[in-house]
Amino acid sequence: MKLHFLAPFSAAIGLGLLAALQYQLHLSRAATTGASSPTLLAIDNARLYQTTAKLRGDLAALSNRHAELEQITNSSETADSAVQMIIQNYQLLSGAAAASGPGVTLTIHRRLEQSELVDLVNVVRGLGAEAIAVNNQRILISTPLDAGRYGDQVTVIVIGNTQTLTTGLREAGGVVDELARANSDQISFTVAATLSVPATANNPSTGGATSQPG
Amino acid sequence: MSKQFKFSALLLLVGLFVGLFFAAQLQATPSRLLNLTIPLDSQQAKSLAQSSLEETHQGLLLDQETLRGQLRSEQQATDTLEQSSTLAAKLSGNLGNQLEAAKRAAGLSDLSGPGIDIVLADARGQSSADRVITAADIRDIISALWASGAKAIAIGGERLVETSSIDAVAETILVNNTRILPPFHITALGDPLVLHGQLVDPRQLTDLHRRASSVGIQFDIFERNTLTVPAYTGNLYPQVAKPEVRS
Repeated sequence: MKLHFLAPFSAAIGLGLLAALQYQLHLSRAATTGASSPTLLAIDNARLYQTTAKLRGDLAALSNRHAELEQITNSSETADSAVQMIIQNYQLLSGAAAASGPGVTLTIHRRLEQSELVDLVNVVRGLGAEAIAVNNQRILISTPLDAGRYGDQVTVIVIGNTQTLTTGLREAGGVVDELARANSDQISFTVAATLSVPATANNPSTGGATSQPG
Repeated sequence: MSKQFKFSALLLLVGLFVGLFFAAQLQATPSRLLNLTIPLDSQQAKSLAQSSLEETHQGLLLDQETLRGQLRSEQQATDTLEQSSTLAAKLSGNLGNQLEAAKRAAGLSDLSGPGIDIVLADARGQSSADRVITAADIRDIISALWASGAKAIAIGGERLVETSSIDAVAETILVNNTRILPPFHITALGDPLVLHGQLVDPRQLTDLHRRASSVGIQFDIFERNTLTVPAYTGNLYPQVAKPEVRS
């Protein structure tokens, strides 16, 4: 075969490959963005099962606390230590107190995009994070996230249920996969029995707004 | 038509076919299927599956409604006990006030003050990615509100607290694991002028502004002298974290 036939022949093979792959990509995108009604319902139901279990857990925990409070109120002893414990727990979640406990550390060895940081923090909250720090600074719900200030290495410490965090973060196509992109060396992920997250540097207040009687 | 041209065209066709064949071969599924399932190939089976999914869906929604009602009344009963004079009498110093302050900082009290109301809704007309409000859009707005000094925020009546996340499942937006339906109402307490100014700044939320003007998604902001952001309903108690003991 002459050389000037070989070039268009090879180009045609390449074009054929590209056309088929493009079609395949189109089909998979359509399946993701325009999933059929039963598929969407099944996904929705799976999430509903999860949130129903969470609501049941919340209700059980709240009922326990209610029972404890009743016991404190009705006992003859002082309620100071029990109420101090309640205050400590609220302060722990709202960032006024430093927290320690089991959790995971995620280190990303590159600069993060703003949307990546916002999505990452949102994901760990969704996985039940009880305290979060980015580069050793406490991240609260009201902390304005600015990826630009964290530089070329971002270390995220999350205290929470390690099994839930590990499964949720490391699932295929999950946030760790997304952040790793083509280079998995950019991410390191460790689980620890005890991690520390500092208290916030700012006083978590609701200055200006007033409480309403419950 | 020259013989040479015909030959080139034939080669081009053969080449295209070979390329398609390679691609198909690469994507081919194995001849032996693992995890075999019974295919739902009849219309009746499909319709049965759909109705069963819908029944489950309705049942789960009803369960959640009941559970949320129970949570609200349990929360109310706990609040009443915490604020009771019997408990206050058993506390020394200003522990009662400290408890109230800690609850307020955690998001367990209703808060009122000046602020803004935001209404977001999908654009009318044929559905496309640009016309739909996504969880990411809402996250961007919330991020901008905190950055401009918001004191408290609720989305569709769901107070944002330390454990809150804003997610999407299928076509539903979830806040605190509660389904929020469009139009989405966001209430933020803070300086109305500053909050409003931040959201309409063309350098912020650029994608949202573009879609509001090009495809007509609704993005309205109203300044208010008084607004109320409701307390969080649910368990806001750490399960594994402990206050750090300083040595």
